[in-house]
This record gives sequence, C-alpha cells and structure tokens, in this order.
Amino acid sequence: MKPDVSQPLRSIAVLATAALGVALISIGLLYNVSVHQQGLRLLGMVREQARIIEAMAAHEMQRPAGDTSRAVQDDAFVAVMSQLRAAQNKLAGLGQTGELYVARREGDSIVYLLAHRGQSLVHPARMVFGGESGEPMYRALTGRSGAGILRDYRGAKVLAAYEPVKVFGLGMVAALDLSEVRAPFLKADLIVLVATLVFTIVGGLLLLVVSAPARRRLRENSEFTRRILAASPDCIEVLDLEGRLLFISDAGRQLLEIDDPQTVLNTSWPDFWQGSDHEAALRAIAAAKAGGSGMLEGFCPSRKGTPRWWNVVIQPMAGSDGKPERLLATSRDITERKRTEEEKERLAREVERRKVELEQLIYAASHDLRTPMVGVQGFVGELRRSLKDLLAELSRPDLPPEFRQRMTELTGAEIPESLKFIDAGVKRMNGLITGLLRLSRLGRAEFQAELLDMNRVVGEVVRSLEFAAREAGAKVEVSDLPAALGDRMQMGQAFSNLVENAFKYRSPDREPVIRITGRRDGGMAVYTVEDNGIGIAPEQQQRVFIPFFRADGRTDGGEGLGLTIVSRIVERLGGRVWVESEPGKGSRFYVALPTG
Amino acid sequence: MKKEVVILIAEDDEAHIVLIQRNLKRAGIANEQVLFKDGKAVLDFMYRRGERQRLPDTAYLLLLDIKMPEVNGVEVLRQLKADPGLKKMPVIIVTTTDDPREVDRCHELGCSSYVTKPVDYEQFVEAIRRLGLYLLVVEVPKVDGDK
Repeated sequence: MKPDVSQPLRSIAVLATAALGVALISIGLLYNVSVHQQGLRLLGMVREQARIIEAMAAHEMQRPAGDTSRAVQDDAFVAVMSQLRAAQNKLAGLGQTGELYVARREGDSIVYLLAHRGQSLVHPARMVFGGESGEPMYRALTGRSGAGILRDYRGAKVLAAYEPVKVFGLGMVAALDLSEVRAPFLKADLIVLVATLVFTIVGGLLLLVVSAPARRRLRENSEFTRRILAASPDCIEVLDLEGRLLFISDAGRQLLEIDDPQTVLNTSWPDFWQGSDHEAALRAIAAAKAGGSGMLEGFCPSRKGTPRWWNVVIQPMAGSDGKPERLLATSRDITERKRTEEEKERLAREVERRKVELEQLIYAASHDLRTPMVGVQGFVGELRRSLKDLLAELSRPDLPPEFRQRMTELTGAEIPESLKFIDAGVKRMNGLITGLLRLSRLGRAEFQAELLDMNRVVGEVVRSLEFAAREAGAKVEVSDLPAALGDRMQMGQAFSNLVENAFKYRSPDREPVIRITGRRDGGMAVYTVEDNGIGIAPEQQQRVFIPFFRADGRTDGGEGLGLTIVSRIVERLGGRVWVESEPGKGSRFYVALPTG
Repeated sequence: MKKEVVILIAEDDEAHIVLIQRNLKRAGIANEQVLFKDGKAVLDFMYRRGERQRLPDTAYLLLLDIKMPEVNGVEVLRQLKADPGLKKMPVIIVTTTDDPREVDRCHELGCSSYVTKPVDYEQFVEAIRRLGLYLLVVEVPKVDGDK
C-alpha cells in the first residue's frame, strides 16, 4: 500500500468498523426488545386461550342442571378440545414455527393432548416430567405463568409463553422457535455487514480514484525535486532558523565524505566553520532570516580531512504564513578555483621578486662599473697630458736625430693611436653602462600616471631638441595631439628618444622632416612619429626594440637602448608601441596609450 | 679670517684620489690636503673622536664622494649640515652618480655644489678648476665653536 494512500484508507476502515459496531449493537438492542415484546404477545395469547377454555369448560359443565356425572365432564373436555383444535388452526401471529399446545400431567410424564409438530395423538409421546426438555410445559403444569427462552419438548430453544389452565389440570404453551425470532435480526446483521463492506470498498476506491491526480502530482513534484537535488553537484542543505542541519543532499554528503548522515543531522551548521568563517556563517544566517540572502566564502575540510573551499549562499524558505520557516544553504566547491588563484598569486609574487632582483643586479653592476670607468678615462686623459709634456721635451734641439725621429714616431703616431682606441672602447663601455642604468632605473622609478596634455609634453621635447635638430638639419612638425594617461617625465623621455632616433637615421639625400600626429581610436590615443629617413629592413623591424640592437650595425652615437626604453615606458603605462617602415622611404613609429 | 684653507678629500678609490690631486695641482691649488677613505673617518675627524682631529682656528673645505664604505657621503652630508657648529663648512659632492633624485637630495641637504665625475675628462678638469678658483677667491667662513 503506497504510504500516501494507506493513511486515509486506514481512517476509512476504522470509521467503517465503528459504524458497523454501532449498527450491530443497535440491532442487538432491538432484538432484545423484540423478544420481550413477542414474549408478551405469546403470553397474552396463551392466557386468553386459557381463560376461554376455562370459561368454555365452566359453561359446558353447567348445561345439564345438576348433572355432574363423569360423562358431562368428558363431554365438556371433548368440547374444549375441539374448540382448541379449531383455535389452533386459526390462530394468527404464530409465524411459521409457532405452535400452541396443551398437555397434562399423568404421573411422571407429560401427556400432550393436541396435535402439534412432531407429535401424533394416536401415539402420544410421553415426556419425563421435570426433565431437561419440555421446560415450558413443565412450568405451566407446575402452575407458573410467564414467558421466556426455554428448551421445548424437542430440546430446541424456543421463545415460549406458558399458562396453567384451571380446568382439567392442563397446561398451555405458545412457543416460537428462537431461530425464527432471531432470523430477521440476523438478516439485518448480515445486510449491515455487507453494506459496510461494500461502502468501505466503494469509499476506498472512490478515494483512490479521486485522489489519484493529486497523488500523481505530488509524486511527480517530489520526483522532480529529488531529480533536481540529485543533479546538482553542489552541497544543498536545509537548516532550521537556529542553524541546525535538517537535511543534506547526496552530493553534499559525498563532497563532505560523510558516511552516516545521522552524525551530522541536528548538529549546529555554523560549527562546521572555524575562526572568522564562523562569524561570517552566523552573519549569513541572520541575513537570510531577515528575508534577504546571506553569502560566505570560507574553508571547511571534509570529514576525512580533505581540504575544501566553499562559496555558500543562504536563502530563506517561507512557510505558509509567508515568514521564513527554514533556511536553504547552497554550497559550491571552489577548492579548484581557490587553488588556482593561490597559485597565480604565488607565481605573480615570484615573478615580481625575480624582476626586482634582476633590476637590482643590473643597477648594482652598472653602478659599480662606473667607478673603474672613471678611473680608466681619467688616466687616459692623464696619459695624453703626459704625452704632451713628453712631446714638449722632445722638441729640445740638443737631442740626437735618430733618437728624435724614433721618439716622434712613438709619441706622434703609435701612442696616440693606442690612446685613441682605448678612448673609443671606454666611450662605448660608458654608453652601455649609462644605458643599462637608465633601463634599470625605469623599473625602480615610480610612475605617476595623470592625464597629460600631450601638446605640452611633445612641445617641450621638441624645444629641448632644438640644437640637435639644427645639427641634423631637420624640421619637426607637430599637429594637435589628444590627451592620454601617462607619466610626464617618462613620456617626455620616450618621445625624445623617438625624435632623436629619427635624427640619427636620416637619409643623406633629402632634408629630414619629422611629423608628429595623434588621433583617438577606441579607448586609446594613438600617436605617430613619422620620418623620411632611411627606413628599416623588414626582417629587422621587430628587432629594433631589443636591448642593444643597432640597425645597420652602427657602433656610434648611442647604445641601442633608446627604443627599448620607449617600449618599456609605454608598456608600463598600459600602452603599445610598434613600427611600420619602408627601406629607403622612411619609418612610422606608433605609440598607443590609454586615455583613462 | 684669512688663513689657508685645508682641503679634506673623502674618496675611497685610489685612482680617483690621484686624478683629483693631479687636477688640483694643475689648477695651481697647493693647499694642505687631508685624505679620508670612508665616511666614518671624516665624521670622527670633524667631531674630534678619532686619532686625527680637526684643528681649532682652521677653515676646511670638504670634497665628498657619495659611494664610500662605513658611512656613505649622503649620510656624512646630512650629519654635518644638521650640526649647528659644522653646517657652515662648504661641502662639494664629487661623485659618479647622476641620478637626479640623488642630486636633488644632496642639494636639499645643503651641499655647496655637486660635481658628477663625467665621461668627459675635459669637463672634469674644468669642474675641478672652477673649484680651485673658488677656493682661492672666497673667504671660507670659520667653523663655529672655536676660539
């Protein structure tokens, strides 16, 4: 029996049984009353007949005046008997088994005088007086009058009324088989029983039929809910308003590696969380109780100790009165995400640390190189001075000619040449060191990003490069430039480098013209520094930004760090720099910067 | 008061010391020199803490390098300029660093001038030369606190 149906069906069964009981008791009571009434009726009948007989007998015996012979008596008796016989046939109200009979005592036996069931007068049976059967007649013959349920001459139970007849020593009994008395009541019992049964069954069936759609809907709903719960990989829990755990989904049990749900049901849910997570859990519950939704991200390992991170949302579940009755907690396992985040943070820190280390190394190295550099350069200068003094000494007239000649070769040609190369090497080293220092300083420098008026910045750059422009015979044209987010000094440095480059790589065939323009493109400001110089070969265009790279292999006038510095500056400000170039025609350098 | 200025040279690199000395000589500056190899020695001298101690009634001029062991030049400058008795002594920073932040800091602390040991020998000589003229012409104030 499905649980959703057995309950009401049981109720119906109980009600039916109660009704049945009541009905049966009622029938029983009615039966008693009926027996009593019938008994009285039979008694009335028997008494009436007895009196009639007595009256008749008295009448018969009075007929012959004064004749009290035996023959009169016998005549009277016969007359009475025939009257009785007639009455017996005509008596109504005795039903099918009812009989009215008369008997008298003869010695120890009862002798029946009227034909009745089972008896013939030709061979009247004799009954033992005072035996177990024939109780009604016994009573009548012993002068008692009344009615009751007794065993008659057959030994069967009857409802009998008995009355002694005052003449001839007779006794009269009117009896009805008890079974006949009972019959209608038994039939009633049966009808009631069957009716109850039928009504119970019909009622039950009706209940099943009528509730079938509702039950099916209920089943479908709970099946639907169950499927949703089972399908969700999240841990779904239901809490009461005090935060006790009432329910946890299968997925939740698996994630928390709980073997027996009984161990966690009815425990306090906030106690799953430690430290500040515990406070957050209590706050989330309070928020949900107030009708909103509470959130918490925290750490709670499984029962077996597996570390897990969770993102929990707690919402109220309203009861029938619309107020929060219970709380629904949905917990998503974010352990993977947390791990990935932590790993990312760790790597970022590592990268930053390495970067700082590297920059410090470059800085320290280039800084320390400066000192001996100065010494070398200084003493090259000293050597030159000493050489000059030596030359002055050699111009004395009193020196031998070969000696003078040899000395002049050395001091005039060889030594100066050596010094020249040392000088050049030192200059180059200095350039590299300076470049490295500037590069490493970029990393250590603080960038102050502000919205810059690029017209001002570039204007200042062009002004400061006036001398260099004149030397290169170059013309610089600046159009109206959009503003961008950047560091003033660094931006100036970057554009200065770009313009200086344009001077350096000018074409010998024409007047160098450098155009600086700018436009907006999406969220960025894109500036162009365009020249008509010698351009850059296609395979080298990507490499110009590499540190120490010199296009066309020059060794003078710089270290090859200018563009590297430009790209570093621009990238640190969140921008991009790239080049387009045509060898023999010129180059265009693009700088894109955010506009904020 | 016009007494010959004593030139204090705080520099730990021998090559640089020789270069400075040669250039001082070429510029015709023959004043007495006292050499210090680190910042602590300079401070001990000025505060009369060590073996060598500054003399009373004497004017000093300090050529100070920044990169020195024990106590670096910037710290020496800071301490000297913070001391009311010593802050009037002219201090010329002579160093390889051209980091603008360092330059600003030294000027803020009160150095008289800042000379970078540059790549170019000629400029270096000129700077020292200017120093030499400065030394000869200017009346260096006496260090306070002495009779």
